[in-house]
Amino acid sequence: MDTNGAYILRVEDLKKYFPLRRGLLGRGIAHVKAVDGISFAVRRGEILGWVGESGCGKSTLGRTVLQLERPTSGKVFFDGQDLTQLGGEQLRRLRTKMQIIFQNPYSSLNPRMPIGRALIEPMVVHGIARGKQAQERAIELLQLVGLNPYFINRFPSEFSGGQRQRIGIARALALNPSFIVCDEPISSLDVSIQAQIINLLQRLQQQLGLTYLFISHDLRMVQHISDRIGVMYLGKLVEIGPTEEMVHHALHPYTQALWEAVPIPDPEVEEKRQVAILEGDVPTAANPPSGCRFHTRCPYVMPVCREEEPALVELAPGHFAACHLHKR
Amino acid sequence: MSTAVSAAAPAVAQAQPRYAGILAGAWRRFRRNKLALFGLGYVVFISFVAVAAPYLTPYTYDKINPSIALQGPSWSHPMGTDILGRDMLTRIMYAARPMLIVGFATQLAGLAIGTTLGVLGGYLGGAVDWAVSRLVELFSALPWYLIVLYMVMVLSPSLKNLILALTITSWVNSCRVVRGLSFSIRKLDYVEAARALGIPGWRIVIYHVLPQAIPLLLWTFASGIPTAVFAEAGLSFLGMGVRPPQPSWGQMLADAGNYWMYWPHMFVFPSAMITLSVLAFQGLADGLREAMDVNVNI
Amino acid sequence: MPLLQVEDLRVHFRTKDGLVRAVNGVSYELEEGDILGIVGESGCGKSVSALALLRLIPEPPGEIAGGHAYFEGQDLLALKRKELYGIRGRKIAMIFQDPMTSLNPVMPIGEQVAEAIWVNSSVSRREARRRAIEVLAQVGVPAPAERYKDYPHQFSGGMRQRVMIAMAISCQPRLLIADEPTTALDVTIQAQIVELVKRLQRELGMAVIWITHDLGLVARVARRICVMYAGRIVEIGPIKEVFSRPQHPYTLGLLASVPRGRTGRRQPLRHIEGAPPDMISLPPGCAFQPRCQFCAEECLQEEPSLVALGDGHLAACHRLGRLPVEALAPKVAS
Repeated sequence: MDTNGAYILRVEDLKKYFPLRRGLLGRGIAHVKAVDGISFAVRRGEILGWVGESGCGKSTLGRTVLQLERPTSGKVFFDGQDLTQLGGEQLRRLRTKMQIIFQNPYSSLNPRMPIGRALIEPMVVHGIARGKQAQERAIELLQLVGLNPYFINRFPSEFSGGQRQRIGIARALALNPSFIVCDEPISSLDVSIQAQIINLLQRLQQQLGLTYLFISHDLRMVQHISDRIGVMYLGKLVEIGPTEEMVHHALHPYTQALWEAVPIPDPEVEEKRQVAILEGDVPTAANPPSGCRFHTRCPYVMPVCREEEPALVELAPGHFAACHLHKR
Repeated sequence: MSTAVSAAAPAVAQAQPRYAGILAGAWRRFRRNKLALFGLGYVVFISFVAVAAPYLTPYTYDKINPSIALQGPSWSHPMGTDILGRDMLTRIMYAARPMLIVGFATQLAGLAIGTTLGVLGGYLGGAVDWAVSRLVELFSALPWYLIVLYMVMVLSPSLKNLILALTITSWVNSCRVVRGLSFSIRKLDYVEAARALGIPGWRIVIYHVLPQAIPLLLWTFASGIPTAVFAEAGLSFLGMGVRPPQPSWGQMLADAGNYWMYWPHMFVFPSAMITLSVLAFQGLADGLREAMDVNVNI
Repeated sequence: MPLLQVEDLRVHFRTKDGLVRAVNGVSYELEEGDILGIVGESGCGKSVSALALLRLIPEPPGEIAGGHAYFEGQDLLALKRKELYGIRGRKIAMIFQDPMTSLNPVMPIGEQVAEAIWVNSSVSRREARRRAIEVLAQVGVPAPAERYKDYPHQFSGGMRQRVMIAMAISCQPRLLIADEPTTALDVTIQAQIVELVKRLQRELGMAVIWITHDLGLVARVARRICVMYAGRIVEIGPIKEVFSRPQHPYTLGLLASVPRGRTGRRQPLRHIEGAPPDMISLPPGCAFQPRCQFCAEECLQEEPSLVALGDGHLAACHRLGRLPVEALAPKVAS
């Protein structure tokens, strides 16, 4: 794989286990395998959508990629450099290039810091700008995300959810990053605001040539915004491919089930639709099923699925799936 | 706030931060608590008396005049005189000084130590947190009054050593509070955002973690003072605190020891002052907690 | 006579910052066995308007400031508390977004269902238990007799919601109010719950009010849709009619802002500018006016009222019939 040119990020067999503390001495006996051996690469300038149900580990993946959580094992190459090998200070300097946008606009801003200062602080820390210059850049950033710079000295509590999310985006842009993890950036916003934020993220991506890892459980939005989509189930990547392929020719039964489950905002279509509903519950990540983790809910389950874990294989150009149904 | 996105407002980047609104809300909640209002008034008053004592009384606290010893309250001596003929009111006024000094100094020192340890434990977690937690447990379990007594005895009784001894335990509460808070704040998205932005750890602690702890710290500070007031009075009562002729309420109570049945004023006024002070600081602390509560949960 | 007839319902909340008119004159009708979807953004009054029917509004700070809600001919809002108990749970049942907070954590789920049956009908404990197991089976809880003694924390979110639904339907209510019951659930589980409620609705012939912010979901569930904005109904009508010919600019905007797959990626979504208004100081005239791209002089002056457009389709807009609706109508996904 090309490490310098086309791919900005390459993740190799990434694992993040959280110990479940048990026993008197708090020794970890069991682990929650939130991310369990995931490999993928992100092309420069693309939006890679990342979907999965709650608890599948998609947020942990985003944080582990950025080294906000240090991985249990695996490698993360960013611009050809293995982040997992970097020390705190080297990593800190690299932070100008990769950023994150959070889900909850209420907890992601310091309530006691005026928004202007929140934008200026990282610039000063990294020596990008200071004083008047930093102030001007903060004003530019606010304008860029569609906020009136008049409010630069206000506190987060004076803004609505959508406006706070814009501030969070401005903060992520303050250091001129090239890669941004969008961790459910619209999930806690009102319907009419979601489209605003999606449009903003899309405009910024085009205008600034950004690359996104766009994590969401909203499949329609992911379909709308992404060039490619990855689907995660219980810590594993089960399918990844170009958006059109993933929507219309999904190969993994889980991906197919997800699309079946999402309602279409058209009553005429919904009336005629025969929805094949996936039975059962999502097993817990602390105790995932043997073999293929999806076998407990899969409508096409075969004996081999309970025994053997399927590997992710390329079944069409750029389209990978991990399922025993599709053996090459 | 739907106006914020409209382009109509003037594009001047100088709208003032609105601390005023936050403070007004806190004051409104504080004002509802009558005991807190009394506490605040009392603290302001007693601080003024302590500072201005020389100008408020014609007497000095150490002028001995046996000819007027053990007089009851009168116009010239509103709280009467003690066994050496010293004006009780003057001594009560001067005695506010050690009370306030011990109260504030032990709490300030405790705050500094407790906050540092608490932030280290709560923010860094891991082994540091384990050590800090064990330390807190150890010091909470110690019979602190005995330790203080012992320390003062060893170090020789003086105001300075009294403060030193009391500080040994006064940090525990603020440490516990700050540790818990840092621990929860550390997990908040905006701290993670700061880490993602490459902001150094010390800066995150000072600008993103500690500001959230201020209301709680104010409360622990105020609520720790009554303990210190009691301790100062108690140790001075035992002759291990403030040295004569410097007055202290506890010491004055000790002086009243054999005479209070006949001259109750020697007993009544100092004990009333101790009670009032403890009550006032406790009320103030409760009021602060109510006033700040909202901000703590933002 | 409709099963439920709400007339000019008003619910106010007294807050320290001022009076919030959370529900500000809401009227609608619901026929037996119908499914009405109420959609709107947070704070638009969609939940409050439904909670108010059973007087589940915390009073104070809330208060029902006016209106009527005739259910089987009785005005729910005029009933005494005691009389209301005969209706709550028996004739009108509710399910909520978070089943964990609605279930008693220290009581086995089977007993909670049995208690709901026992309290609301005159049967023996044993009979209540038998019926509870039956109802749990009906809502798809696997092995209900064995799981009868299990506690809520031993169930997944989807299963807890099934238990809530079991309690709700245990007395065969005439009306089920579902307040965002699937919002906290994953898509595949959401689809299960939606199918379950639709099946039960058919089996029991009950009417359903389904409150949601998800337009896709409402398209799947409802037969009629009611769009609320800032405490008022801006549009109401048969679901297909409203989705294919939306008349209110807000409905239009909402429908246009939903991604439909085929719009092509580099194309931005149509979105509504601005944010929902501050409910304490609503803008003059039409509440949607500051965000409306068709706003005219009259919209600033007067609050529009619902106008009938035929076939039970109503909308509240001064510019009805004068909007370039066709140009804005959402393109249907192919």
